[in-house]
Amino acid sequence: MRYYYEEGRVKTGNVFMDEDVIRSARIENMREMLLEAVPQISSDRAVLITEAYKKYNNETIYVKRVKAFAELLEKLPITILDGELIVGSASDKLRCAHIFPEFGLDWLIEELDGNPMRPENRPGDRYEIAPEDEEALRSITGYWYNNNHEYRCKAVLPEETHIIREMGVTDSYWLMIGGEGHLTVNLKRVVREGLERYIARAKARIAGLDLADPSQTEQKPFLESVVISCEAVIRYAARYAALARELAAKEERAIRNAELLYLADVCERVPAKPARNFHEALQSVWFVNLCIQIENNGHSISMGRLDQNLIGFYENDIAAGELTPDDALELLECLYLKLFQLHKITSWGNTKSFSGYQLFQNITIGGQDKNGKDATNELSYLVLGAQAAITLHTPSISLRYHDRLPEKIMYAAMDVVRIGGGQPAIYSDEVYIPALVNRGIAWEDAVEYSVVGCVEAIVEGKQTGRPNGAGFVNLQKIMELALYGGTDPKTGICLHPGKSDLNTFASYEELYEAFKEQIRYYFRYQVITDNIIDTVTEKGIADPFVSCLVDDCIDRGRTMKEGGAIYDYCGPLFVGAANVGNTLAALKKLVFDERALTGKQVMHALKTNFEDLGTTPSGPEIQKMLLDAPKYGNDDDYVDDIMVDYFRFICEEVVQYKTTRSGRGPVGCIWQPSTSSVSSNVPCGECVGATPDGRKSGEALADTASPTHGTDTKGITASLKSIGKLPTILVSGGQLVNVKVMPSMLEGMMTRKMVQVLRTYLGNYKGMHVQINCVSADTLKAAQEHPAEYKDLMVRVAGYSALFTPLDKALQDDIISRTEHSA
Amino acid sequence: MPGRKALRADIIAGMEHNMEGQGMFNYRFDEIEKQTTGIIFNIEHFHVHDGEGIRTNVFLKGCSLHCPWCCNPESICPAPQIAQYQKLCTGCGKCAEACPERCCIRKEDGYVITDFSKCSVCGKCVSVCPAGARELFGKRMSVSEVIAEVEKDSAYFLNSDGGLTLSGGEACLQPEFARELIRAAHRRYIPAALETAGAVEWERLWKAAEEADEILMDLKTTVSMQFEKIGRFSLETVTTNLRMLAEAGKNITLRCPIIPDFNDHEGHIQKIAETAGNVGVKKIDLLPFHQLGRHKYAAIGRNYRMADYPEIKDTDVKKMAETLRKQGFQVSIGG
Repeated sequence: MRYYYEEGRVKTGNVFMDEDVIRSARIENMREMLLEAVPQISSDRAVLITEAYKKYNNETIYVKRVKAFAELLEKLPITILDGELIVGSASDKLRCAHIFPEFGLDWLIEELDGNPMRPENRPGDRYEIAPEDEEALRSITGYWYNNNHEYRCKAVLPEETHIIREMGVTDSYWLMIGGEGHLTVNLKRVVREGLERYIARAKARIAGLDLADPSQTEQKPFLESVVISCEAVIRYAARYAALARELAAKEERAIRNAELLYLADVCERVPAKPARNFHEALQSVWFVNLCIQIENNGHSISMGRLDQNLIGFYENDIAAGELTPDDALELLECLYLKLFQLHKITSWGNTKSFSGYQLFQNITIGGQDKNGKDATNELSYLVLGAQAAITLHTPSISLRYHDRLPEKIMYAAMDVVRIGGGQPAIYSDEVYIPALVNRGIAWEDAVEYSVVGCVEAIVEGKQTGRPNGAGFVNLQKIMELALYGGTDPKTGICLHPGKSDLNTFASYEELYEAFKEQIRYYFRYQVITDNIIDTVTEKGIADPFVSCLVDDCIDRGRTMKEGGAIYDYCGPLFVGAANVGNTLAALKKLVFDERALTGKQVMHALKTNFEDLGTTPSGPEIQKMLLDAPKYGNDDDYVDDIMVDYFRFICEEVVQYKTTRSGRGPVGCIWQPSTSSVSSNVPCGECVGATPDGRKSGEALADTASPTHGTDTKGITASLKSIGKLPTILVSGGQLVNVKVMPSMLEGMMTRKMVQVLRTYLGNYKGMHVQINCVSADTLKAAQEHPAEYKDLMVRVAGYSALFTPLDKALQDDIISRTEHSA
Repeated sequence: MPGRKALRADIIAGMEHNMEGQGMFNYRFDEIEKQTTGIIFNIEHFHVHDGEGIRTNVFLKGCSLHCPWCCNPESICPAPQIAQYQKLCTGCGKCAEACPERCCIRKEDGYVITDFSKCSVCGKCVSVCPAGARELFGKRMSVSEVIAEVEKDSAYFLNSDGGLTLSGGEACLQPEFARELIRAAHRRYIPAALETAGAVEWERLWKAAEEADEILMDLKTTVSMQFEKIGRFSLETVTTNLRMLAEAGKNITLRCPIIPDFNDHEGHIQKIAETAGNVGVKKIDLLPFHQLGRHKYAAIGRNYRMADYPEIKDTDVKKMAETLRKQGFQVSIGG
């Protein structure tokens, strides 16, 4: 089927691979309409699931959840927008967030009551809500009181968890009111086999169960729920087919009429049966991911290696003359707009850590095959080309780099980076693959990794557990606790007293050991907390649909939380990595090596936020001395050695812990480190007082593994070299680095030098990941002042792209202050 | 542009030629590198405009010219000097307390002014200033110290055919230091470029330039009268030096600042083409005037005569570049 027409197309002003980027009239109209729409909260899902939970109250959790899921797919309103080629919307509202009361509802009601503010009054990530939706949500609160995931978690979590969260050391709250997410299901298999084969496999397993064996009886409810869920999804697609025919009957334009009739055929075919062409494959993929998003409110549900998985369909269609590259591009652009429509709302406190309306839906391109051959293909370029035309924050495009990657795709990627928004992020096979193999993943699976969330490498359809989706760990807060002898200066709470504090440390080694001791204590509690939450999820959520799409859940007769997946890893997100290194280095140099200051002097300066003018040296002078000490990000071995040493320690500390799936089937089941701080470096900074890296109380922490903002003064090459020294191969949960360059760095011959810098970092230095923000501070400031004129300005915030104007001012300021690396 | 492999082989052959008979790992060079010192005011990483590939620039202090548009006014004086950024000064007076010469004077309105005529450049005020409003420009460093910082970027050089660029000021005013830096780079297989205005005696220029792989040579004007206003050398010195470098077979890029009310006209562009054509230079960089160095004049107590001049328009420079390209030159704007 041909879709692309030249009439009414518009030039975007962007250039991609030496050609003007064009949007067809269809894409331009839809994009404009979606950009204008304000995200809304819908009560539809919440009301339907409440009714279903009441109706199926006495069923097992599997059956209760799956029957509720089936009712949702049967009753949620559906739409097909004018011009759409890929169909399937979570709601009849253009940009809509559903509510998942089975996870948590109290936070929303509190916000609707104005605490801390109503969703429409948020400084960033605003949502509107219609009075009838609000009323409907308030009417169901009674049912969920003391009866959902959040309550069940709180009932079993130890007292320490709450105290630790209050102190700001670790935060896993988003897992109490949110779902699992963080995976790519086996889309390749669904597209090739169709869900009917999944149903058949589940039925065969049920038929073969020996019900006299209790371990097999256990599997029956899950396997039955697999059948119900797949059938529900097939019926959901059929509703779209019917709607398309209905719309076609009324459609007077011959072209659109033909499109609608074709869409009806597509929706009758997939995802039930194997896709026969590129369009059906894309539609199949989207239906599956959309239904997972309706089933559960986890984020980071991704698309996998789209260019590898679908290239066969594309090539066949092109060879058969059924599709042109322009048609394929338009189909991809339609898919991107579907991804953009999807929203999920979480509490304002969590939103600060995940800001930018982000659902982290990744599309991975490039990389290599299992024989090490470059895997870049025509679809890789089309995926980038579609992003050049759509230029929205969703999806996240992830380019897999390796040393044999063609220069051409690097230049194509730089073209997209130049447009703005930090897309695509670049990931290095040179370190990801060995990092995964090091954790026990077989080589042939490791080379197939794709990206979910910010920087998590995952084996599509075989791996679960949220590779880095555990709670945030505020490293600099732990450092602060060590300096204060274990007592939190803000709250006065002391959970784990140290032997001494900054006033009394006799040597650097004593200070370092005190820090390590606090790390050991708090890491352990984070593991306890997250494992308890995982157990509650396993017993109380048990989502069958997403599970059955992960191998080998059906064969083992277990959900993924029960250990159904082939691989399983989980891990925390470190925040403020650079601050800790800088703190240790400043204290080592000034207090212990040079003895220019005493621990007592520094302690007093910290307590007074560097503001006491009555001391000698004065507060500001001490701050200056601390700021002048060596800083990570300048290729200075004094601080980089300290940084690498402590970083290796925390990586090794984490991996000794096990997840709840340990011993139940999957390979791995350990905790692994990650430095994906998302935007939590801002809220995490708010609860840390002044620190010896020269940072004042409440200021944002360093994001990801990047240097502290403004302290990497020697330019991007030195900065990347410092980062490249970290033992990144241990960071199998994903290492993240943000750099910002002026647009002039990506013009003409400069692009070549930028690519050379990236190849040095990703190849020679074994850097894991880099994302390049290509915007000037002036542009950002202008956007801050005149948001209306910059409503589509995108920036990349620690792992993902976001529309800039909806972000809150503190984060906007933070982005502006990130060092601008430019020539 | 030559292919990547060809270029690299070319550079390495050049470096090996220059090192002939010196003995790569001879301990004597260790001593020479430690003992040869010079005054530099900056080492900057990731320069992309000053030579092939990714460069690390070493800025040597002291200049034989005093161009009114200079964007590095701190480079002109050969000796170290103190800068004070009024905008950042909080008037706390710590510098005045620390200054042994009493040249930091705290005014009644709370700000500090510096009497640079009395300053002995001891640097005490810089280390005590909590606001970061003071900076010391100029530091004596040995070849081994400088090259250690440069060599950190080896991997970037390797991947981009980049290397060390000696810049200034006028690098040839410290010819011994410049020569030893280039040799030290070559001993580490790092290509080295030399940037010069050419307004220096041939002997000094050649001492610095002889072993450089690439010469970036300024051509500020082609009018003698104009040139005499910005330094004590004649324009003829520069053109003769340029010719002799070309005759010696040096790889030269001509660097031409485009300055408003000075040389921003087509006639000048034609003269550049003639000069380049006469000596067989193929590569020309046009460097349009900008104001990014404006704040540094007041900071070092120097009068800036071009504070109110507008920057050169992009379209004008592009036109000039086009004129030159039509005559067969490789032209880049901004280097």
